[in-house]
Amino acid sequence: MKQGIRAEWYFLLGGLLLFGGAFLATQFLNRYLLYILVLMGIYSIATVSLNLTNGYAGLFSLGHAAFMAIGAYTSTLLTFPLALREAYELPMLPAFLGGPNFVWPFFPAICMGGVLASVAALLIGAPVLRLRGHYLSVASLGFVVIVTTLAKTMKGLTRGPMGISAIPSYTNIYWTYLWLLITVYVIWRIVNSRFGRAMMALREDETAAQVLGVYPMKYKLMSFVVGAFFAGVAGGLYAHFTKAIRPFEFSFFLTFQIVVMLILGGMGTTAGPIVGAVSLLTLRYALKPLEEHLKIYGLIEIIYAVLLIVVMLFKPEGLVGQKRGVKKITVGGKSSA
Amino acid sequence: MATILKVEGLWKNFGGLTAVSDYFLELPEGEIYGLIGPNGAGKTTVFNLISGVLKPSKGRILFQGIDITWFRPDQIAALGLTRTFQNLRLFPSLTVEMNLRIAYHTHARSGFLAALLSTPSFFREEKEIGQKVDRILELFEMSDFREEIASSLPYGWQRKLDIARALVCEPQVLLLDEPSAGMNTKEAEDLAVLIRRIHEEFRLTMMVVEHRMPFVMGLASRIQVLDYGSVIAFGTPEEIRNNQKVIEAYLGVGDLIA
Repeated sequence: MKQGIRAEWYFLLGGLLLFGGAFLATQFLNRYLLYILVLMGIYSIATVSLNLTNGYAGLFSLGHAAFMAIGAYTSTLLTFPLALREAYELPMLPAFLGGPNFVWPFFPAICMGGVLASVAALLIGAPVLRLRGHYLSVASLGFVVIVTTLAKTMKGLTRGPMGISAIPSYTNIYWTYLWLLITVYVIWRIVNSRFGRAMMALREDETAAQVLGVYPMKYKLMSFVVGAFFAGVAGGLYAHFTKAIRPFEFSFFLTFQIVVMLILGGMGTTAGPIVGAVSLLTLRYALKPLEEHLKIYGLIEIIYAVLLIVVMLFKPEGLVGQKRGVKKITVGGKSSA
Repeated sequence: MATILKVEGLWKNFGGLTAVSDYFLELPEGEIYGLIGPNGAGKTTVFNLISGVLKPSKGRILFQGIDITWFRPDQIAALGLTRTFQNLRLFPSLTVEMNLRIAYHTHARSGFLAALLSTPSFFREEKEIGQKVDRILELFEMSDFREEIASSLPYGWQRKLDIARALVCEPQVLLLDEPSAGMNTKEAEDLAVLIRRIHEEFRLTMMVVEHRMPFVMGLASRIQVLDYGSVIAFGTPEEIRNNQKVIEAYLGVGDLIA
């Protein structure tokens, strides 16, 4: 960002426009379209945060759904109405979280969900981020299995497979887009600082980054933890939006959708993840009538997968990504002498 | 002159293979030393050991009096020792400018919050990095390539970028691993001039691994010859040129030559 302070003003202006648009949307759009807009916001938060780890730091993590689950269950448990806790066999809050007569307000509860997701990222990141490439992907996928299994079995906290319903409906278009703005802002700032540069350096060539003074573990963990925070936030928003969460919603399938959105939009770009999330959700809801009409359920998923293959074949850098590393002049390469 | 880098009894075994045996070095501040030897003599392994990329099996490495034998490469870089790579390790899909900006990492101080909130101190530092990058680009006559993607540069420029990047790191000691590999004679000559210039301008201490004899002979004040992992000769370029052991290492023993 060479123009310095100015870019911040553009950001603020964009934010105001976004909120103006959100206001207009609440005035003129029907509930169904509003629902889709909020969902786009939530998925965008998840995709933008995944972009930090997978796009900029080059750590192809598939654990995002697990962090979303942690955020969703955390903020649900913190905000769940006192009157219903007994009926739902959910515990009262312990003293250090405010005691049995306390219910958390929405904003801090969402933040707490993010924090817990970050803590989880810190704990599993330390061993898992030592792995590279496919090994990291598979290990992070294992983390999703652990978290969903725990959500199914820790019935005292999560009510197991039947899930928690009657979650207070706090998430609206304003909250969602406020968090989206925060997410985009934070990640944009990180990417344009020495922290983001260190992450990109590690993605490009870890050994070279290291001899230039970048400590790999520190910056890998940082990208993982920050990404997990916003995944936790997205999970929390999702819980208070759909008002019901069940463990299987946070399975590999959720990760897959977010990863497809990111790859389709363009990894390691600012706009890519949002473009990916919005276009895939648009496609989903545009095709929904078709799916129902033809009674081929799962058609949308098949289209997602085909689309992913097509994009990988013809525009691997994603919709908004720029072609990179086109060699203009190739000379023999490494000297063997 | 004070010794800035001292290596004592350095060994490295890969399983049964001894890549480096009893290597030693006393590199005086401000000098350029050359390290030569036939293929597989262990030159790059020596660099890998000194820069922390590999850990030695035995021995001690002292940098400015600090024992860095077990330090990580990033810790060694932070102390002021960095290197380039024989098989180019640029950040290929980033621009030339970004490649250089990253290298300022060890000197960048601004914190996480400062970056998040874009505080004035953060911008001052970013500007400072920009100026540093400008200076280096100018010195290397690469200002026109600023926005180019590193991997799209012609090969010779990629090699120069690698050295430029190491300089942004502001090291006291720089290890150059075959800087002229893959270059033609003209390019290599220009590079030698450039290296001599940065040696003077930055008061750098350097160690150069090379294959091109005229290149290293013209550059280094002292030359070490490595064969089968151990130092077989050490001296001025003149002495090395006439050393019987060196000739044998390169050409084989006398009576085998037809």
